[in-house]
Amino acid sequence: MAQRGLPQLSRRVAVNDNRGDAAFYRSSQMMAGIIRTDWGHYVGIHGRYNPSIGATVCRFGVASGATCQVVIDLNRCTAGTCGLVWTDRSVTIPGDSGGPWFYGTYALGIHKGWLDEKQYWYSTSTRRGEVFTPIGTVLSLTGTVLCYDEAPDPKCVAR
Amino acid sequence: MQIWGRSNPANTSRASVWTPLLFLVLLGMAGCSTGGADGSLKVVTHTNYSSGTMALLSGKLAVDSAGCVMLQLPQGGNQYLAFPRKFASTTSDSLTFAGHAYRVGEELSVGGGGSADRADGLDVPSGCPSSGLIFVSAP
Repeated sequence: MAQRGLPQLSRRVAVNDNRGDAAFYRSSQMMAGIIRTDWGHYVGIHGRYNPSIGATVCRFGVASGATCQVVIDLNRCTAGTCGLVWTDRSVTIPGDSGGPWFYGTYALGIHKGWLDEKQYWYSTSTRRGEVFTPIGTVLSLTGTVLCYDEAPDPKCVAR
Repeated sequence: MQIWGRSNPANTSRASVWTPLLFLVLLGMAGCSTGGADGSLKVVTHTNYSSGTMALLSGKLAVDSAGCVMLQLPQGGNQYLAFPRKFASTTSDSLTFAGHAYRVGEELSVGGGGSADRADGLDVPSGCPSSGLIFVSAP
């Protein structure tokens, strides 16, 4: 059986500034609307929302694997990149960047990295959480729409 | 018992006060630039220790004609890196990052990414590039 080659990716848009961190790559092959949520596990995406403070959020990274955390703040900045969602702990390691944040079958954002900050102004230690660009920002920065079966955007066209 | 600030100031030598301060200033200045002056490899550094991007970058440690540290990418080409200053140091043929010494030609894998804020304590030794850098994250 002939084996299909790996898709060729070409970068069309890349933004990393005070609005967020996101990029859009065009693939030479049609991609399925699924994300990897753990080793050997994939789910189809059926919607999206920007998480709020206190929400449980999950991610998968090809370096550290799957984890779920709780959102503790929104619109955080790291080294000039703003608009980031900040979670309550961090297990991320190199290779995780660009991985999906999700909850169930809902897309929530794209992983960036980690952020340390004092919990209180008088704290001597810091807390480290993970940061990601929320999905609404990803789509607006890249000029893209999320296409899925149940409620396709009018701009989603099968090719 | 003496209370702080109430010891006899007349007996306090000015030299005893200023010598440690001068030492600290000189120590700080020495730490502002990593490499180059003493024949060690030059490396661009930054001072962002409170956040990091977790893209994986791998390659062989290499040095350009000016003595600046860069990464030789497996797909071809080179990539200059900016390391978190207090976790990086160099000798004439190696870079130590996060406690591990890498000799020129040795495989190196780091986490990092581009930065929207390129002025975050960036220190660029003479002859090294100040743009197009990947910012290595602190461990």
